Amino acid sequence: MNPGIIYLLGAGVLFFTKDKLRQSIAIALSIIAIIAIYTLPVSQGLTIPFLDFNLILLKVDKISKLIGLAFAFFGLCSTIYASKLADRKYYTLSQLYIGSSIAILFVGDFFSFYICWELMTISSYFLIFNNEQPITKQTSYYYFIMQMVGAVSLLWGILLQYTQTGSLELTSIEYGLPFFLLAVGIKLAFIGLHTWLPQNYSNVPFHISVLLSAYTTKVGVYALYRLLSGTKLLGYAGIITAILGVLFALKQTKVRKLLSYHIISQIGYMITAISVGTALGASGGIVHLINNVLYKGLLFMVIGVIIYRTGKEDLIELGGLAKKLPLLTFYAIVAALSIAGVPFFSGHISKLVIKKAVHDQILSWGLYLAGIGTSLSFLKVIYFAFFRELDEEVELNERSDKAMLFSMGLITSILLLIGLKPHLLTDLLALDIKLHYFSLKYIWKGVEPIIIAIIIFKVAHDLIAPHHHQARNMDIYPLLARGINYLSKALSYIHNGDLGRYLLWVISTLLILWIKLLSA
Amino acid sequence: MDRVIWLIILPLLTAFSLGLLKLYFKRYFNYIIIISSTVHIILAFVVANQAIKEPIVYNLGNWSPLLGITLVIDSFSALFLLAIVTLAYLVTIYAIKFIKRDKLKYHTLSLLLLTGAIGIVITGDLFNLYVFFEIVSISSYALAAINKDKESFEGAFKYLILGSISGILILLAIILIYQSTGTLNLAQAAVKFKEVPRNLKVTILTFYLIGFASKFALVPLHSYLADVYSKASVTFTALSSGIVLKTSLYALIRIVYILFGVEFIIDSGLQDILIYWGTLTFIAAHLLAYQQNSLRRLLGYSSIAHMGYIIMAFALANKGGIIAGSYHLTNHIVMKGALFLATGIFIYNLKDDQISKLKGIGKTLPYSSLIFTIAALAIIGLPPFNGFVSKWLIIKQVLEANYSIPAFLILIGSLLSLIYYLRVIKELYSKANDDKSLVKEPLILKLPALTLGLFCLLLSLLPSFAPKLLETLPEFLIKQNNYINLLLRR
Repeated sequence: MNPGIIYLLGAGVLFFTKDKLRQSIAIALSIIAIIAIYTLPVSQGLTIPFLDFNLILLKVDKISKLIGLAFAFFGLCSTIYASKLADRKYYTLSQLYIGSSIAILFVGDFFSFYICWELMTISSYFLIFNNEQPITKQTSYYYFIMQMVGAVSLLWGILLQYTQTGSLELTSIEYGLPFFLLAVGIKLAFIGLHTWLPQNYSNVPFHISVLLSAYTTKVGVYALYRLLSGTKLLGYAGIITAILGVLFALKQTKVRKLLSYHIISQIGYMITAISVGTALGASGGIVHLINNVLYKGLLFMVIGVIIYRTGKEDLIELGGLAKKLPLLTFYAIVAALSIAGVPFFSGHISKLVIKKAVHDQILSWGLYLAGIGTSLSFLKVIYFAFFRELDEEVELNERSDKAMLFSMGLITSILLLIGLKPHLLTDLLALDIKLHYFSLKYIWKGVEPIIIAIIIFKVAHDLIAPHHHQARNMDIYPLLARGINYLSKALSYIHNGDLGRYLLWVISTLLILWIKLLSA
Repeated sequence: MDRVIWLIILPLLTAFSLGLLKLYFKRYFNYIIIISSTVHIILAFVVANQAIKEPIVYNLGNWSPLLGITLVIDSFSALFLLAIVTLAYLVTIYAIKFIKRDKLKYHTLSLLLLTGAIGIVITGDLFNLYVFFEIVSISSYALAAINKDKESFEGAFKYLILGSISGILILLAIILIYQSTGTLNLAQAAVKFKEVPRNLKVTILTFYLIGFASKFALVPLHSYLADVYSKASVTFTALSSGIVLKTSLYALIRIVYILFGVEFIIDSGLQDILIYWGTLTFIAAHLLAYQQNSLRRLLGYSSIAHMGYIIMAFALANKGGIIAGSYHLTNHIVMKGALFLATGIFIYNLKDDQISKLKGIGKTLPYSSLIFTIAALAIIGLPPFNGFVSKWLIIKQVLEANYSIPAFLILIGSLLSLIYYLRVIKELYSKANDDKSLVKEPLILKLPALTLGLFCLLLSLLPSFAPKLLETLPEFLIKQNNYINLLLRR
């Protein structure tokens, strides 16, 4: 059976239970799901006839299994992490959300794929829409509409593919490429289509942004891999996404916003890797995806604890946390070193595989630049949040964060493990090339961007130091909405309630129809 | 076989005896209605079940079908029958609590409306159809005005004028058919109709089309609908969009398919016209719905849009189109019913249905808000709800018939409907400014709404658990001879 079902059914159970019982059921469910995914045999399982086609509800291969494991593991950690803050709504919806994003990895036909895709959108919409943060009323509206645009174009692409080929099997697509591109592009927050992401991830309560950061965009990457892998042109788009994402990120002072732009930038790496079209490229992208789920989730968790303990998340106001929260600082440093790709940390592995897979000169240079940007922005976060001395010390409240630190410890240990023993991960993918991850050449390659970043950080310290920016709104999509609004207002205007006018409409329709039918 | 006629007699009899019964058994008024409706729904299920296995033909008073009145139930009518009776049953239960003024009038009229609707669906005679059609129309004019306020009167007046025009056109069409074929039995008329000159055929078609289409509100014949809905009681609006609109569509479909035949639909260019007309309808209606502040008006426009989808599916004149159209139609009855009944609970508490006043209702009325949300997601066409499956079928059929632009626009329509339904959901679940602790959702209002909401989930599996029903739907539509032979016992 599809492991996503465990969560989907679990959501119902959690809806009706309470307090401690609910907490332990949620954790138990996540553990069961991890075991279930781990023991799944690589094969095609369940098919069910529906309408005039077959739904393939279970189809397992190495990649989906590996991503599934990462998703389920992160699900467990985020459930533990949120245990102090979670309410009934969170439990039910998060299970639906995690469940549908795991289910989507294991389905083998477009119809079920689309159903899971939409379930994710619906559940995440209600997760984002949160009354503690009134601004999410607008941002979640924006989110749902944008995701729906993607879903609609996905559905149209699927229908084109289906009517042309007569098969709904989930394979690389042959028809309707632009529609699939738009759909996947919105889901994985391609630069230009990314506008839904930062405003939502930075405004929801922090335990929810931890959850969101891991799944939606990553499922987009998975869809890219399944449907569009080997579309060469995407490589350049990926690089643009990676570099622009990091540039936007550097500007931010709100940590979660910065991390949100970093998601976009990291997704750029994966797009570039997958678009190469070789097995190596795809594996690089997937390993990077798994790493990213872990360390980006960990970073979101770190800032979550900071918000929880201090009530602040702006780098301008933070500082000197290293002394007060030493364990947290350790986690943050591990995550930052991982994302920057320092040797002996997990990001190094996947970045190296990607660099090996990419042969295009422009792409390689682009990745290099983005790498410098990444290092730079995490230097910024770590230094200004944890090590900078402030005149006025940040005050901590005495709320307990044990469960949070525990779940972060789980992720950190896995990250360290991957970094030190990369073969544990790459063997699962059965990569056939032998990379000596820790040869001197590669270590130098890994350290290089960081040294450059440190130099830039020293030289341009004043520029990088967090300060207020003039926020500029460059979002063009609301203009489209205004266009529709104008059209509908005009239509509404002619319905003035005048019976004579309405009668005229009926009679003219009658005449037009009559003439049209007579002359046909 | 006499059961069939009881489908019509029972509500008719109840309607007219209610006034008398109320004089003597005032205390048992509600029970009488419930008992009568329960018997009726059971009867409908028995008959429909039988009809799906083997179509039923019933001659009234054993007159020969050429002289007397004939009732015909095939799978297509059976589906309508089931959907209509189920909705009417739930709405009736709901109305017992919901309607406070003019209870007697309301129930009498709604039973009459049901009588007429069932008559339309099962009759095999054109003039009979007209009579039932007028019964439905007249009772709905009265129901629209039953609140006796200014807006209701205005809406009902427009409804009456435009409805009368549509009645006249249909009567004209019937006169022309009688003049040219000499019969009003649908089957017999269909046999003789082949010799009718083309121009006359086209004229009859135009009259029928405008006549029925202004009842089921294709743009620009839709103008009265929102005005009628804006102050009418939700029980009427649920019945209207679930029954009045759908049975008018049924009548048109039956007449066009049987009398004119599938070839005529394609040859005369009617297919193109209806596909593009449907497209225009749903685009305009979705855009209009976006501007509404009153929830009932919004739902009214959304109903219009869905009639556009359904007519597109039926215009394809093939098996897949009929199945997709009927499926979507059933789904729409359920979803819109759930939406209206949930709205009714809001109105019951707030005495108003302005969208901006719904703030925070999600917390105080959790069940009705949940029902509203589920039904709204279903009607937008999101999986895993029923609306998605039927919309998928419609789009696929339209696309396969090479109307790719209308098919694409259906998806754009879904997007537009998301935009305005989400506006409502957003208000429902946002934080209230004032305390609304006095609100309540009585069980008798909640139960019918919940049932319909549950159907929104269950009906998405309809193709799996009732394949036979869907499979046999087109049998007596697509081949007119099947129907003619059935009716004339040849």
